[in-house]
Parts: sequence; C-alpha cells; structure tokens
Amino acid sequence: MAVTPAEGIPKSDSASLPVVILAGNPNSGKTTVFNALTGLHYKVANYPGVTVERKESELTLGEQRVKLVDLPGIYHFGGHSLDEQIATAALLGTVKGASHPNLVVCVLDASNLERNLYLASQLIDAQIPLILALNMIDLAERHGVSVKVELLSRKLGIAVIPLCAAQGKGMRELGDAILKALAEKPVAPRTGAWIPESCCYHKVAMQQGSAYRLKHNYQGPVSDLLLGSSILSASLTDHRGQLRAADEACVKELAQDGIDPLSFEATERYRWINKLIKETTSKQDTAAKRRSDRLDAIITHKFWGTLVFAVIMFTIFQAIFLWSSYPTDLIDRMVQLIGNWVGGLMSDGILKSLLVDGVIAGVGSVLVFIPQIAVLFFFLGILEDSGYLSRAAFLMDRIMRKFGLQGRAFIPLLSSFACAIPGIMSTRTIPSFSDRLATILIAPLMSCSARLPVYTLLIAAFIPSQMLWGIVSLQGVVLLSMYVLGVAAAAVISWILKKTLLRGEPTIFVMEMPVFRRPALIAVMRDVWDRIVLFIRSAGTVILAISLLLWFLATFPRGDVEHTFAGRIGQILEPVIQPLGYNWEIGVGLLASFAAREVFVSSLSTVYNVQDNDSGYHSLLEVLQNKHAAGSFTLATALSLMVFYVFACQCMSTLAVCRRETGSWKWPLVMFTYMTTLAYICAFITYRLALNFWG
Amino acid sequence: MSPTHKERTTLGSIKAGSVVEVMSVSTVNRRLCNKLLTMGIVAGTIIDVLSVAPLGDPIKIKAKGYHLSLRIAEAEHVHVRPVAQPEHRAA
Repeated sequence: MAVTPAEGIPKSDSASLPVVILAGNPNSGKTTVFNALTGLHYKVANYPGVTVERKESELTLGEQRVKLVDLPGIYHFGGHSLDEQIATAALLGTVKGASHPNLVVCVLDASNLERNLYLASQLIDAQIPLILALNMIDLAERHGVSVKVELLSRKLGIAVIPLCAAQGKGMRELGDAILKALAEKPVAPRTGAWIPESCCYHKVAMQQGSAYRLKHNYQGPVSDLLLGSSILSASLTDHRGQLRAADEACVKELAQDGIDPLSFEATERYRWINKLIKETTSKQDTAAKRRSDRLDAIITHKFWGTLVFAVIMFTIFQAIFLWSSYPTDLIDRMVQLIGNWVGGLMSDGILKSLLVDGVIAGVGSVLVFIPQIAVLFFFLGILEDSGYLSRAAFLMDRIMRKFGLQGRAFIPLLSSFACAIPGIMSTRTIPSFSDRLATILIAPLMSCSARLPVYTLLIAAFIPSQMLWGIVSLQGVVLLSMYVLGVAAAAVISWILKKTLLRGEPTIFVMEMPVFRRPALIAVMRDVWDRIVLFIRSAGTVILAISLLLWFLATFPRGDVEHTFAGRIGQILEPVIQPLGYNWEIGVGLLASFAAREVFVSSLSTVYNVQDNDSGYHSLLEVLQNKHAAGSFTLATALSLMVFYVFACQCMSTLAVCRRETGSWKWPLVMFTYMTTLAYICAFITYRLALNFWG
Repeated sequence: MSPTHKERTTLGSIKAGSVVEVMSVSTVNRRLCNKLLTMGIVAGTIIDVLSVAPLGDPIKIKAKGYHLSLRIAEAEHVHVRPVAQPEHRAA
C-alpha cells in the first residue's frame, strides 16, 4: 500500500520553527510525554490526504519556540499499516510539504528496553539528530529493572533522559536536553558496522545527499529489511535501478555466507541491543513484578479472564444508563427552564416559535446526552491506558476469528460503541486490508452514542423502570439487548463478507501486551473533553442547522401541521414506513436523521412541540409518555423504531469517513445499502412480533 | 548443547508453563517472519509460554522481558528447542 504524498500543509509563521518529533513504540507512554511537554495544549489534525492523526503543539522551551509533533507509535521502520508508513515517512521527512524533523525524541519504555531499542537503533542508523527519553523509569525500577543511564548515554553518544511522564518527573531535564540538542544536532555513531558495504542503502542515499527528501513509492525487494532500510529503500524511488542492483549483490553475498537475508537485520540488531543491555542494565525479581504478573495471569485466564471481561463490559453499560442519569436529568431540567424563561419573555409569534421550538428544543435535547458520552469515553480511555484492551483482544481473538475478524478488530469495534468515526479510523492498526475493510463495514452496527439518545428516550418513555430480581434494571436490560442485537448482526455480516467480497490474505496477530499500569487520569479526562467538545460542536452546527431547517419545514406554510412541508413529506413516506408501525411524524424524524442520528430526537421534539398549541418547551419524554398513555404511540412502534436505529446507516459522517478510509465510493455504498435493507426487514419483523405479544 | 534433530519442534506445540529457545523463524510467510523478527523473536531468544486464551488459541508468551500474544498457526513458524528451566531463571 503506497502512501499518498501529503499535499499542502498550510504555511504560517510557524513554518520556520524547529520541528521536534516524538517517536516511539506503541505503549511507550509517548502520548503522556507529549501531554506533559505541552501541558495538554495541542491541536489534533490529520496528515493531509490521509486520516492518520497528527497531534501538534507549539511550545516555548527557554527562549526557543519549537513545534512538537506526536506520531503514531511504531515498532520499526516501514511496515504494512498506514500508521506505520506515515510515521516512518514523517521521521525521514519524506512527507511532502512537511519540513523534515530537526530533532527526533525517541521515547522508550524503560521496563521494556530491549525491544524498544529496536526502533532507536534504526533511528540511529538513519543518522537523524536524536535523543532518547527513558519513560516509565519508576515502573521499571519497581519491576526490578535498573538502567545505568549515564553509561547508556556514553555508549550511544547521545543524551538519554530518564522520565516518569505520568508524574511530570524529568520533564524539565527533557526540555533542556531538547534545547541543547537543537543547537548541537547530536547524531549517534551508526550501529551497523556489521552491514556489508555492498548492501548499504545509506551509502547510495548519502551520495545523493538528499536521503530525506526523496519520494517513497519504492516497492522494496527481498532485502528491504536490511539496514532498517525498509524506508530508506522506500524513499529512494529515483534510485530504484541502483538499489535493486545493490540489493541483489547483497542478497547473493549473504547467501554465500549462509545467511538468511530476511532475518539478518533483526538478528544483528538484537545482537547489538543485547550487548548494550547487558552492559547497561540489571534485572531482578521484585514483589511488584510478581504481583503484576499474577494479576495479568488472572486477567488473561481462560475462565477468570472471561468472567472479568464480562463484568467489565456489563458495568460499563449499567454505568452509562444508571450513573449518568443524574447529570442528564439536571441538564434536561435546565434546558426546560431556559425554554420556559425565554418563552415567557417574548410574545407569541414566529420569532418565539423559532427560538423556543427550533433552537432551544433542537440543541437542548442533544446536549442532554453529554453525560453518557463522557462516561463511555472515560471507560474506554481507562481500559486503553491501563493496557486492558490488548488483553481483551487476546481473549476475543478466537471468537472474532469465527466471524472472519481478529482480536485487534475488537478495539475499533468497542470504540464504535462511542462513535463509529474514531472506531473506523482506529482500524488503521489492523495491518490486513481485508480484515480492516470488514471491520469498517460492520463498525456502524455497533450502537454508537448518537443512538443512545434514541434508545434512552424510547426506553424511558415505554419501558417501565422496574428492577429484575431486585438488582438489575429492566431498562438497562432492554438497552443492553439493543447493543447485543447490533453485535450479533455484525458477526453474521462480517462472516458473510469474509466468505464473499473480502476473501483475502491471512491475518497476522502478533501483538504486544503492555505491562498493566495505572491509567493516566488527566490524559483520559483530556480525551473525554476533546470528544465532548467535538460532540457539542457538531450539535451546535450540523444539528442546529438541521433543527432549524426542520422547524422551517414544520412551520411553513402556516396552518395545520399536516399541510406544512414536513407533514407533506412525512405523508408521502407514510405508505413505505407504515408496515414498520411508524406514522408521518416519525417519518419526518427518520428522514432528518439520515444526516445524523441524534437529530431524530431533536426533530421529533421540534415536530411535537410545534404540533402542541401551548407555548413553552415540552419535554419530549413527557409528550411521548402522554402519547403512550393515549395509545397513539405504542410499545410495538417504539421497539420497531429502536431496532431500526440499531441497523440503519443514518450518519453522513460515517459514510464520508468510510469513503476516505477505503478510497472509493464503492464501500460506503455497500455499507449504506446493506444496513438500510437490514434495518427495514428487522424493524418490520420486530413490529409484527411485538404486536402479537403485546399488541 | 547442540540440539539433536529430534528436539527441534515449533512454538505452536509447546504447552503453557514451558520454556524454549528460538532456533529459527520460517521465512515462508515473509510478512509474518518480518513481524516476529522485529518484535524480538530471533534465534537465541528465550521464550516463556505463559498461557492460552479461552478457546485454546492464541497463546501468550514472554520474550525479551515483555508479553506478546500470537496465534497457534503463527507460532508454528517459530522453530524452538526446549530449555531446562533453571538455566533460564538464572539468565
């Protein structure tokens, strides 16, 4: 998979600032270092043309302004996933339009130095100005690993800074070291004295004097492993012929010596690392290490691990529904107060109707759901940061494989419960394209937070709030079953996809399981905040716009609701949706929510408020409960509607992200078609069944 | 110390609780080989097989001081020989 060269990063005053890149293995705590350096002041953007996330911040170190960039974590140069390719390209300055780094800070997990040094050794051989940050040094010490930092620094010939970024320890020293290194441009002596002259890509690259600047479309031949050269080779399109000749000569030479070229680089690098580790670190067993290992053994145990997993998942769903209900009620009441207050200030008329029924009712009923989103993202953040998610992937792999997926798909799919967009974007960590595509296509079947408003509203209005066996909320059970329904359908669909459209190369599931650690709460909270801001922003723009449009459609031409534009569209739709148990008002809501699901709640509230002749804001919940009591909105309709929302692909953003991630309109079209068909059929079945049982 | 041919087996057939040394990684699957090698599964690496996931697959191992999970089918690409446990504990 070739990387599209990124075009046109906007130039600004900041273009002249020195660029410092944070590189490191996944789980090295790189992002924590980034947060500690920037004090959580950063911008999140994508690399232009691709959706690999790029966190960037400008900060002042001493007198010097610098631009700090956080890369996706990688284990080595090159690789198959887009994340790996972009990160490698950024390190080598081959991302078009982006300046090459003035300095790379390689963050290493001190408790796992041996493997973390692999990337560092490749960075050293690429001869980029470099310093090393030994993160989680306290955890390493507790686990009995002690590093002779000064000796390591002397051996390598570059600065090595011990850190504990989560507690802010060593950050000052790191800042000073960055400043010093920007001035001195320290380049460590190459590790690769073992590389035969003939296969030295560097030599070719250096001769041309522009190793960092070349395009990287080179499809590396057999030995692109040599010399960490996966990227160097990839960045040397212009020298393809030369490289291939050098490469063949090299492979031949190695073969003559009985050396397998594929394992050559890795073996030699680890030999170099081994020697370095022996000289500079010592290990001993500690109680903390034994405790952590024992905990890990339980968490990944066949039986106990599965039990813990189930309990964690169940807790999250109960928490979303029960714990967040208090702040939700509070916001709900405040929105009502504001609606009444504004309504009281104004005389009846178009403007009042616009404000109270359009703006406040529309946006207000979306804001109400912030607590649930916050709770969900909080749990996801904790699970990810503590290292639990990879354990979950380990536990789930065999089951996921039954449906043609893999354990790694679990994380994107779990994220999709919050929102399919980050979920789909995080599928980049899945190296196999067909696995990735299958995961993308079923991700929107995971009930996202935008469906929560619909579920919670309908559940609160139609499902009695009673306890089963005294401890389990019936409403919680119904909510959980909506999630289970989506998951079950996803399993079937992905199994079918992998048997038909997406038969592909077998997956690789070689996955690190990081040491359990206490999650960095501040970083998790910052992430929760980022998500809330994003949600409010979309509530404030897209949803407000649609609310206003709907208010317009539902208000004009003035008179009976049936004769407004909305009423007419709803009536045209009615024959199509009647078999599902929906009237034209619901039709209006469905139509609106094809832009974004959460709009359903606001549009329904707009439609119903406008219908009501009383002035003031009416809680949609109350309106629905009244209609339920009056029999004009039945339980069967509510259930059918929830099932429709489980399956329907009513999110333009998801389709847009799918288009961007898959590179064609084919896949979003497949997604939209299969989901809408599924939604219609299943809602129909649900309605008929519900009518039979309770109707 | 040199292993007889009989002793050579693959990581895929090693029981949880055993300790083995990597002899070589099969180059049949290039991508897999690349991945295993860069993650530290190179000749000479000592591997602790820690546990097995619920349905008997994947397995969790410890190598180079960290935990790694891989599927049985992938582990079959890693040729290993058994190591006497005390030797490893000392290392």
